[in-house]
Amino acid sequence: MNAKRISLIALLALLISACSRKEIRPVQTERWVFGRIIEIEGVHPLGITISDGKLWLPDPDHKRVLQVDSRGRIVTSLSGLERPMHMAARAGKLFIPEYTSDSLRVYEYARLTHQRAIAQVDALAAIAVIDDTLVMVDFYNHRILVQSPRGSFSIGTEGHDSGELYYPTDVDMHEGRIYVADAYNNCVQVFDLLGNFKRMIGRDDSIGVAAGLKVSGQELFIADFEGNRVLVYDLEGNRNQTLTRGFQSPTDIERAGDTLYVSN
Amino acid sequence: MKYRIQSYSFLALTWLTLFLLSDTRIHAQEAPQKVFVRMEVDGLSCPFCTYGLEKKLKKIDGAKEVFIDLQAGEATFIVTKDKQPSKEKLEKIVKDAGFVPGKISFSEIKAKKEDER
Repeated sequence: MNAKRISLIALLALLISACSRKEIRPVQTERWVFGRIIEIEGVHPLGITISDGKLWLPDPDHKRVLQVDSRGRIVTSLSGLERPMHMAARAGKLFIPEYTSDSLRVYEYARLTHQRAIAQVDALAAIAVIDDTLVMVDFYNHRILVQSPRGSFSIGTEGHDSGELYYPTDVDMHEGRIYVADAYNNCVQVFDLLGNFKRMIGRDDSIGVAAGLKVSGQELFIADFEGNRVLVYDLEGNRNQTLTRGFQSPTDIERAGDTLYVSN
Repeated sequence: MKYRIQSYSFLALTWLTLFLLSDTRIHAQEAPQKVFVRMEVDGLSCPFCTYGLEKKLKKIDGAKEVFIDLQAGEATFIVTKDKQPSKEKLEKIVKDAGFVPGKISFSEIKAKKEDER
């Protein structure tokens, strides 16, 4: 019993926030409990990614990406980016999709590469990377692009049924599945690596805007921007928890061990 | 006689040069008439909407200072008078971007002289 209680207390949800300071709330006996707010002055992060243990935030309002420390102090600022959105980290590289230029930038060895235009995309909203495979969100064409040395293909068409997408905003890959935040179908849709539809998650949970997601371990986290909450599911689509404390308009989620970060 | 013709030619050339320089200067001082465009937009719900509409409006020829106010549900930009888009064109852009266009207004901005900028 004591061991279980200790582990519950260790599972903290940390919040990235630009809003005013709020008091630390009491710990509850739930899997994820509110931890604290990290304030970053004047920043409205649209996402959050951990690369080599460092927190990176896209700040599209100011056309930059920021690396912040655990106190919210800006350590590095990559400026001159065209509305950077949901990023991905892989093997020491930070992949930055540019929404208004439809280009991909990569940050590695403290250097930002030139823009790599992604053909036939209209509003590059997010990217996920595993090994040599890039999975990208094509917001205005309502589809997902998969690129690898073995070839390229797209997933989804505009619509509201299973396997159809309506303004997707984020993507993640996990154990042979592609998870898509289908923002205005108000759910997450799951596909296999060949693009076959597998399941829909959260469709009956009144999600306002599924703006961001994260898959980690055996959990799926959905940021409900309009509903001011983060929903926690298992990978079968069963809802386990709803996080509402301490944030408004969440945009993305990141996990590092027993710590969950929510950008808002 | 030959000397006189050369003098007249030189004077004419000088006046022509001065006139052209003077004319260029006048044009440089006159900035093109600008128009401030304001549009009500229904359906702006998240930052992806905001930047998506911004992306579409920036494609309008000559559009500058494009700004989308998510809270107010409003888009504004500046364009020169000669490139002012029609209301129909703007409504189509807003619809194609996934939103419902509302009231659209155009207001002229007084041109500033070069030294007032």
